[in-house]
Amino acid sequence: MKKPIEEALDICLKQIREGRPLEEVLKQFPDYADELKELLAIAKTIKDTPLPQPSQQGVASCLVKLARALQSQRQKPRKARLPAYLHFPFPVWARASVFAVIIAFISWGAVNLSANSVPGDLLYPVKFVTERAKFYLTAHPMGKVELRITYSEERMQELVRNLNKRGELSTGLLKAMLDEATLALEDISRLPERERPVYFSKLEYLHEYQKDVLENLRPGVASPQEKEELDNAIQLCQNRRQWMGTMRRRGLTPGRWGPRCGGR
Amino acid sequence: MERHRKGITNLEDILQRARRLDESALATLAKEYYSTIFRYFYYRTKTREDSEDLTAEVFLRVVSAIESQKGNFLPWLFRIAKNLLTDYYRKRGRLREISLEEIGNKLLPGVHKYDKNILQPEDIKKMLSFLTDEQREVITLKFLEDYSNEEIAQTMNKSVGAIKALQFRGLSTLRAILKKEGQYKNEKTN
Repeated sequence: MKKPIEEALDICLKQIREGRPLEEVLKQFPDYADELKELLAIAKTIKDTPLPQPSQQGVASCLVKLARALQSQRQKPRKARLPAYLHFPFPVWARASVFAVIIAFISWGAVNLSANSVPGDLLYPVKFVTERAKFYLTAHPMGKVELRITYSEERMQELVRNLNKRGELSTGLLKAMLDEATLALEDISRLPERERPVYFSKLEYLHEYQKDVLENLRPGVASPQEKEELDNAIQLCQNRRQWMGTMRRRGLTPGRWGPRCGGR
Repeated sequence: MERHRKGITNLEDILQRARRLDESALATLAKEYYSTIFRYFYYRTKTREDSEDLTAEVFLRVVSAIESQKGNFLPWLFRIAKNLLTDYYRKRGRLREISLEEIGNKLLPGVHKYDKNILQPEDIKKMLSFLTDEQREVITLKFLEDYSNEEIAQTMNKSVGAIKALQFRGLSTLRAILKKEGQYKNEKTN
């Protein structure tokens, strides 16, 4: 098979270097002989050119600079080197990207793990901060109402988990659950009129659901004081649900004057 | 004329000592590679002084980084030189690369001894300025520094096949330049 000319040129260069005569070398590649002859002549011309030599002064000056640099290098405090297993032989941007991915992964994991946490758990502050951040980053009023309703329901779930886990009723969570619902009602009153009925109904069903859940919790609460707190909350949910039902049947929803919801 | 590099026989041993900032080992490395690095810059910079300054700077960088040096020393040294050259071009504005079509009007004033085979380093420098960076690197390392294809491939982080192709293209470009130069001379004489 005919060799490409690049290959032929390299073979010729090698053989001439080994001392074979030019004519003999070129005979192997008759198709390229003329071209190769010219290229080999140029290669020889370059090879025969005297090499530019650095000045002795330049070399000496370099050695002096090197000695000075060496002295200051020795005086520098040594950087603690990473152990071999932590060595990451990639550019800075790659290290930064990997670091960012790890941080994102850890954050994502922490947020997910914190979803089922209750007050007192290690990850509960993560959940709290995530909820607040989500709320303040939500610009749309309807989104805010949705979040208030979700958070009220979430506090109720935490109340149940906390009671199952620790055997005591958390009055703080009970209050937070009712407060979120109250704030949701206030936010609904600020929505455009056509949007209010949907969220008003959602909140009514939430109260009904919360009342049922709290009633189911009642037998598990031992302390009379906690039982009284729970009864008050059940009563409040009941009153709100009834008031909302009446308003809905009459085609009324809370307006700019604010909610009227039977106390608390 | 055949050039044969002497090379350091116990390079690994010297490198080990240099990594511990042994002055005599570092001086040995500098003396051994000074000329090679000087010539690398000589064919790529405007003045001899620039080449000497840049060469000295390479060895200063060697001192500051030798402790963490790994792998083959020569490709590592050339990488430092390349980085410095990039900074040099950035600061000074790159020498304009000229296409073959333009050569007719920009003939090399000094290259006129092709037939007599007595080119001077300055002539070679001018001729090489018409090549691409990669072609110039292959031609200088192969024919001026006497490196093997494998060594050049390692230094340039390319395959041996790619080096052979660059070698062919570089020599072909130089042939075209010298032919144009010949025509120009003939026209001038006529």
